Amino acid sequence: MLRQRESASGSAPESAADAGALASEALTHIDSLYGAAMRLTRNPADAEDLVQEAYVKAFRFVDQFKPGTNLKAWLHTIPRNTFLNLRRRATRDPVDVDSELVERAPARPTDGLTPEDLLMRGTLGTDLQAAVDALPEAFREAVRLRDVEEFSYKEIGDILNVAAGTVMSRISRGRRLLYRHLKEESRDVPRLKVASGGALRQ
Amino acid sequence: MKNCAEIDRLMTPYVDDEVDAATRRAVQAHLVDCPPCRERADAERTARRIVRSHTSTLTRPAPAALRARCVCTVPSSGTPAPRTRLGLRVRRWVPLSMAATLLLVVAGVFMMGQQEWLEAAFVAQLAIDHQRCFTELGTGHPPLDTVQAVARLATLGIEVSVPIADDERIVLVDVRSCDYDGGPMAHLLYEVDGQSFSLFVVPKARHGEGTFEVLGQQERLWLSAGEACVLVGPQDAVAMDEVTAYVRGSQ
Repeated sequence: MLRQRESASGSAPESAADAGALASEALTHIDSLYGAAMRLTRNPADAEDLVQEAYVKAFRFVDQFKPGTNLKAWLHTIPRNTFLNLRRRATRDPVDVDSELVERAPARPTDGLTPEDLLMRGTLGTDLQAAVDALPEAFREAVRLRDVEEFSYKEIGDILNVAAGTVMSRISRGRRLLYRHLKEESRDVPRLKVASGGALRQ
Repeated sequence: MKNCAEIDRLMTPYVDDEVDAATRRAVQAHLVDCPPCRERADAERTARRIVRSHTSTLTRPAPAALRARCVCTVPSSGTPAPRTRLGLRVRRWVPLSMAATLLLVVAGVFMMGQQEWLEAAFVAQLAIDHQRCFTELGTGHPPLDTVQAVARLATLGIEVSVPIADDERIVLVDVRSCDYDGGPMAHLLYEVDGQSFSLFVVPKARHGEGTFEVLGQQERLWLSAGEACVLVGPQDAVAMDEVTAYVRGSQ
């Protein structure tokens, strides 16, 4: 039904009935939004509030959704922006996700375990969440949106409000850093700590 | 032959298999001759495979209670709750399966006009602003007097009328600025006998008047001298009547 309307009119929802159809489709993405909100807030209660507020905003500003674009990607922009605004308001200290340090997180030579060793490890599941969480926020978001949510580079760029080239570079560095975390984890050396500003220290 | 910097820019689309055949061959040719780039490609490909084969451990389904809360946020006319002219019915627990509930919600929407939809979504936003601002504020704040409140709103760039404090049971505890379609609106936070009330004042707004029950709160909307006023409080008609009378009496 949604698709039909998109191709027929190509404009914003014109009636509440259109908006209603969009709303029921929007609700099918709740697991994905909750996952994103959990990673942002790291707290189930805050994540739930963030998702609920995201839906209220989505339904209120439903005419800002461009038909023919990805509804799920548009929905993902809402809790993220709300969260960043709230955090800015709470800290009065905007977190700069584009800081030089984050973009230049070093790629160290890899030795010891082979990629196959890593893939074969049975306990990976539990370590993986911790390793993903330990990534600087800008990299973590890019990797999650690509490899867990399977968005296109363009859609990720729209969600994160950066160019597609930046998206690819963040995914690339994020994946390599993740690989390194997992290798270090398996060699039992102290893991990288992530400072609040997104900078890395060891 | 591409150099390492060029390969670095192509690494992610190459690993994701989103490059054309010619580019793929060029990257492969470079990787054969360049062990550092090959190692980086292997690392990226491995991390990608690990994450993609473990997405179930990296995601968690939204709790059922959250689903129910979000279904409640869909603007819906449906069967009106008592004292509700239009707007959202409060469904804290969803007695039907999700699918059936969604159908009900969408069926209700077909009966609404666009304006009603926007109005219902607006009052839902205020219910959330009310709850969030009170949570952020915490407890034990000294009361504000009218002069302080007006001065603080002025520094926030908002000029609206503020009720005069002449009832000692109705205590103004904070004033804030909340977002209204990009512009600021005044949010006045009151405590009355341990219950929380919010008065939102939106300058130059076009809204209807009425009473809503939404997301566990009751809301009263009215217009006063070009300002839209919304009182948000508990689902307690007596208390809401009293605070509404206090606010409107001084306008």
